[in-house]
Amino acid sequence: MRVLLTSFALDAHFNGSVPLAWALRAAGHEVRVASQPALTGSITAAGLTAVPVGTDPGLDAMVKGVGDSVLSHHADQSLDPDTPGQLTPAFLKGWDAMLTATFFALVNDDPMVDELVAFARQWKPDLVLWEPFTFAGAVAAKVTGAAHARLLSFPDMFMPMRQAFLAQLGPGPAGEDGEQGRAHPEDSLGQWLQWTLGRYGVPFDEEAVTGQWSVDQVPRSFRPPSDLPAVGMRYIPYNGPVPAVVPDWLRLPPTRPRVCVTLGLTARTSEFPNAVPVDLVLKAIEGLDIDVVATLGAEERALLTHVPDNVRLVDHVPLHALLPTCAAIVHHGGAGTWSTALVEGVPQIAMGWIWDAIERARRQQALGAGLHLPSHEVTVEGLRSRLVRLLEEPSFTAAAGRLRSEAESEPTPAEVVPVLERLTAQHRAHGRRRLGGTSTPCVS
Amino acid sequence: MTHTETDETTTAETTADSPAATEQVQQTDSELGRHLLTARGFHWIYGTGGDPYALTLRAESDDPVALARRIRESETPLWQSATGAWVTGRHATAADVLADPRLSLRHADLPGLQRHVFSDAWSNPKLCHIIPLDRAFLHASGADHERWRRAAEPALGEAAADGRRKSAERVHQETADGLGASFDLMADYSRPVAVEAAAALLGVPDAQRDRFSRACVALGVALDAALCPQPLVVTRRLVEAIEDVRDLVGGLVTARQAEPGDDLLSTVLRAGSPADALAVGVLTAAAGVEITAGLINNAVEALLAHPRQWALLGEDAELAAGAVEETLRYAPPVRLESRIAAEDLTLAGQDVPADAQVVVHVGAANRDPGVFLSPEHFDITRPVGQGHLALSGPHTSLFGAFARLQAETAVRTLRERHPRLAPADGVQRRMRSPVLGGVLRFTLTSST
Repeated sequence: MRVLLTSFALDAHFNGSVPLAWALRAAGHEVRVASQPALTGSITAAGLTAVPVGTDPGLDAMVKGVGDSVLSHHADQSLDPDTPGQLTPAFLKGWDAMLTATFFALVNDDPMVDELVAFARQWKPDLVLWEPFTFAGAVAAKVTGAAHARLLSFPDMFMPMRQAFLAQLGPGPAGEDGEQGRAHPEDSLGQWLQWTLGRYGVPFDEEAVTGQWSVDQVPRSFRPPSDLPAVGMRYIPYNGPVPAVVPDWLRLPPTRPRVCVTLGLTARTSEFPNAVPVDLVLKAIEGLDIDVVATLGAEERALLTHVPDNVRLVDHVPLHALLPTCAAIVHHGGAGTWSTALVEGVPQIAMGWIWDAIERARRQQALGAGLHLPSHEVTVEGLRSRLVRLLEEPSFTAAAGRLRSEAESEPTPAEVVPVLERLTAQHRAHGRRRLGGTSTPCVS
Repeated sequence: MTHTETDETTTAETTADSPAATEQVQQTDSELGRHLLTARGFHWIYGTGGDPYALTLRAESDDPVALARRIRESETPLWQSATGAWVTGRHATAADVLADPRLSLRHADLPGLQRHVFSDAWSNPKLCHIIPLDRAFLHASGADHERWRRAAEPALGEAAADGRRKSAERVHQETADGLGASFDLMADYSRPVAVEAAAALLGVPDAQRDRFSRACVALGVALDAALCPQPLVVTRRLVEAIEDVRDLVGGLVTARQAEPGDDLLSTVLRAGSPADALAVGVLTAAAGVEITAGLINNAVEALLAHPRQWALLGEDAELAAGAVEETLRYAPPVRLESRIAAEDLTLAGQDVPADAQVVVHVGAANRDPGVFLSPEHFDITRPVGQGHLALSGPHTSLFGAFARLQAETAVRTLRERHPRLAPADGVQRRMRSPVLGGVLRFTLTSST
């Protein structure tokens, strides 16, 4: 079959879709990856075939201009049912209005959607897999009759908030606006999708937001309760378009417990701020009887006043090669780092300070597999004592091991491919094409 | 779907300050929708830091009176909001701004439609004219307004209003007598009497009354839509209504040219051009009606919330004028007046550059404790002369006498015919209505 994969142009959001793309390709399916031109290098570096659409979305300018305000609106918002009164109507309305205006309508702007739809009309995909904020994929699928699904590579905070928001809005005003095919007038995301679909004569329905199903790479313990259909899939680490080279020192077993310190890659190449006080982090580690591997970019290294003896500074090392040798990881909270540590069974100290990173870290801590230390609360003593606990209390490693087993119990991308073939055949609107690939569904 | 916003080919726009007659602007749903969405997003974003003006424009759950107080009690009389606008809620500064001819409803250096495209949106969005309302004459120059005011004076001034008192009383009494035991103040009283009065003023023939009335309902959001993005469907309806009422009034103007009468349009034609008559007629529908209905709503709401004042009015019907003046102070029908600096200015000690937006919060200034004794107290016997600032903009003052007459007649009539009037529940206000605080529903019961 023909699978069109799409993600807006940000490595952190695209990387999670690469292993499934490989699996589809290896099973004999045609795969195209559509994004704005800025992602072309990352797509081709992953060995995939790029279809540049639209123009680069100016995400950095938005983050620079209004990012702080958008993030501050989301501070202290939790899906945790033990934190009552969080998802107030005012919060959810602002969340919908701000994210649609500043983010969704920006990374899926008209030229991007138009060119993606034009490509889909010409190439006629059977299935469109879309990164969960790249609603252009849903639009292209609905316009062409392709099956379509969200491809999740981080815990889905969006959908429970969306559902809470719609429940609070209630039905639209009687008569015209609440009708089938029309979004509630106060539903910014629905309104935007309504007029975007309207450009191609297609009515709006909530499926443009939910997809027909989701492929969820997050272990079950991190999935919010949902009635929506989902296909679980094991997260396979992919580091992104950086050299994946195993250095000499990594080929020898460590002589002391090894700890990885990383601030991820996104802050190096975008305007998304990295709030972690990296100099404090290394000071906290100084003198401990451990080997520290700190993967820091040049700008992060420039913030260091002193590099302790037990720290090895490297620019980059493949995390899935490094983490099996580590007893713990201290990181910025990003989704890719978090997921990789999770499937490698390594206890984590996550210094997340952005909305979803906080939520992941809190949940991780609740499950006993790590500790949350928001970056603005980092002190030498606070971080040091937490790291010592992680290394000395076996419960952390045991809990991390349980999550690793949970992750490994999910089917691999290769095993998910036949499921996608079957679901695509069920959901495609138009005449059947030879779907190809393997044909034995083995996961339900 | 595309929509033609300006397709004018027939009506003469004769003055240099008028919207360019030939300007063609087409916006798809995506273009207009995205613009409204982005502006709305900005109001939310700027509100996250607690900016009381941004929160006022957000018009969500925050109490507008509490926000007005914060705007007034800001450290300096005039301050710059995160939205970029310079804002004042102090009486003295507000009065200066409203009287300053260098502050206008439009940009001095932007001919034609007051349209701002968010080209450099994330760093410098222009939120002063959310949509161009030039076709409804709501973004007109001071010179245009001065000409319209003078030409309309014989029909809209105080003396003319007095002359209409008898016919107003008849309409109000008929409407009041037709009310049931439970009714909606806005839908069953305030709007019908305001529309009827406007239709009579313009001489709208009976056959066109329904059309005029429908257009007035859609136009009711106009003053809000200038500062607060409305949903796409509401905006489309507004723009269609503007074109419809232009067509309707344009037809009336042509008829009056051939056969003058004693209506407002004929009055304006005697001193001005057909374009002037069109402008005044469209403004009557786009601003006059909603201001009038809003003033009636606010007056009744305040009186019923203060039973002692309602009782006083029953003892002395002549207090109706005081009740309306006090409503204009306490709960003005137009809360925000937005202006653009024509040149670099110094206002209240602040340097305000040319082209900057300056906003007067009339509701805040009207409760300035430096000017009004017990400003939070609603008192219909309050001595006149403590100048409140309601309806003192060029487009709002045009209908000051008209709205006052209708509101005085309304409170007098309702007090007389429905002495036991009481709210069935609270007032429901429209969402996204920071300027007008427009009433969606206000159910009242009457047990006469």
